[in-house]
Amino acid sequence: MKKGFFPFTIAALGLIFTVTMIVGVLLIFLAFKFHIDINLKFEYEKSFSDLLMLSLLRLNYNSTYPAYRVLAERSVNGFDDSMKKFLSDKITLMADADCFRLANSTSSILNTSCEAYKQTGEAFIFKPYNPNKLVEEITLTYNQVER
Amino acid sequence: MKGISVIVIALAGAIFVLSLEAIFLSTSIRMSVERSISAQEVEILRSINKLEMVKIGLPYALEYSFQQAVYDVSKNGGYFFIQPGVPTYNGLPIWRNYSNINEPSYIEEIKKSTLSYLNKYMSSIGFVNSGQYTEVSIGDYTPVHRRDFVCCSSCKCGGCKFIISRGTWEECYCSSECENAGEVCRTNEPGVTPVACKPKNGVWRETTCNSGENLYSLTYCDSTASSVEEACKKKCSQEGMDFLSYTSNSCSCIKITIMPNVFLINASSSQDITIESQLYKASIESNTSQVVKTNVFNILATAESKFIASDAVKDKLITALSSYDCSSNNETVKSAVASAILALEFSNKNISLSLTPKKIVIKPDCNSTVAVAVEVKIKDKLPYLVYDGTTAYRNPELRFYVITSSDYSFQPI
Repeated sequence: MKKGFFPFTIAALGLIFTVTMIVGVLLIFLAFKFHIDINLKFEYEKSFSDLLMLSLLRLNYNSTYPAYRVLAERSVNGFDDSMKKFLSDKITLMADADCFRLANSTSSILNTSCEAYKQTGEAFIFKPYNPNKLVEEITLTYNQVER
Repeated sequence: MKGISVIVIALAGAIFVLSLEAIFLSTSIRMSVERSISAQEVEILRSINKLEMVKIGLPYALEYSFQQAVYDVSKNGGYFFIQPGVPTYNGLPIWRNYSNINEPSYIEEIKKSTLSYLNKYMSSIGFVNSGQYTEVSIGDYTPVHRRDFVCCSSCKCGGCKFIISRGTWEECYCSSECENAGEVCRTNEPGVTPVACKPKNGVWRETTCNSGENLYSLTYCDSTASSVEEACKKKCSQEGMDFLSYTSNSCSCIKITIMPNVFLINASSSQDITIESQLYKASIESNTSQVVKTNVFNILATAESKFIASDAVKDKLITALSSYDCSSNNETVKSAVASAILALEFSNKNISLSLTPKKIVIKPDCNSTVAVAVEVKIKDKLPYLVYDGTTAYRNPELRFYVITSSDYSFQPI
């Protein structure tokens, strides 16, 4: 009994050591992979959303009227269906989004009937001179289609 | 022995648990560090994007600032702020007070105002650091070109000598360049009338005569002209300019170039626009430019040519009152004056000029001498997107007063 118990102890110790090593190594790799994935996705989405807004502001509505003016001067020049369709088409195409909402701090500028909540991009634009409001912050919230 | 084995297994178990705990702790710390780095990376990316947004928006801010500046400065009679000491009438600056000129630096005031508004835009962006914009350029040229001409000749009265034979009198003679060469042009001999020397061919010179030349009536430079005024008008026409005014021996011509109304304006600052977090600092050049449409130079050219370089209102008054005398009816004279002033109004595709006589004063002892206070408005027909209670498209209008009279010695206003 005394003689047979020692090998059993050694085997048990080896098993514990092996399991510890496997679990430890796997855990570290899995945790890192998962975390890096999450971080990269977060960084990508944040950067992409803001870049999307930048791209939107650089577009031209027509040869003489940039999208920047469409948004900045909409309270003076109006914001007709053609302008809305232009922005809506561009957002849908560039963001690959099925739902979106373009809004400022107080109201919605343009939105789809479905609710947008996943990704968010922000931009600010200079408004025509008004001492009370020179800058307007615009937020684009959208749901990128999962592929 | 059995007891020792149990202790060994328990110890191994404890080591296993501690190892797992160490792994978890290590992973958590690493994850925390990763998250922090990730947050910083996001912040850096967002900072860069924000700077890019400033860069995209700056030309628009510059344009909006310029439009507001033109509107405000024009409305204020050419001043960003009307400083105490600037002569005013009905709250507007007086650009001409009879022969005194108080012309503001209209374009400089617009530049100053543009800078002020642009800097307001910059300071309204909370997350960037930017130096003040210090320089705005709109275009550098003189829309009103004026040239003064005189008529000169080497013809002179000289060669003086004493005439002893006739009792020691001094006599001088017209030189060979004169039409009447050799005639006595100066003498102290009683009973002898000297003549004026007349140049054979006068030469037009700009501003002054050359050394050795004398100034002569303009008619000596244009033998076909019957009067000094006609000679001056012909000279201006030859130069491709408009007649402005004349005196007995000088002629002023003016040329107003119709300016294009599209300009590249530029704003510069010695400091870059920066955005910084604890670990990151990014900057972009703050200089910015934008193409704008404006008629400020055409407005200024009209104001300068009609009310600064010359006194168009006075000229009109003199012409209108020439058919009246001191005993003419007061009301008739006033009506003629009002009509004459309104006749100066004009409109083209760029600007329109309107004049409103606000006060007409007739000289008490002579009804054909009149002084007036006229409100001048020069409107830019281009629409500007500006704030005046609300933000809307409006036409800037340069407004100022001209106080003048048909005779500058009569200054009742």
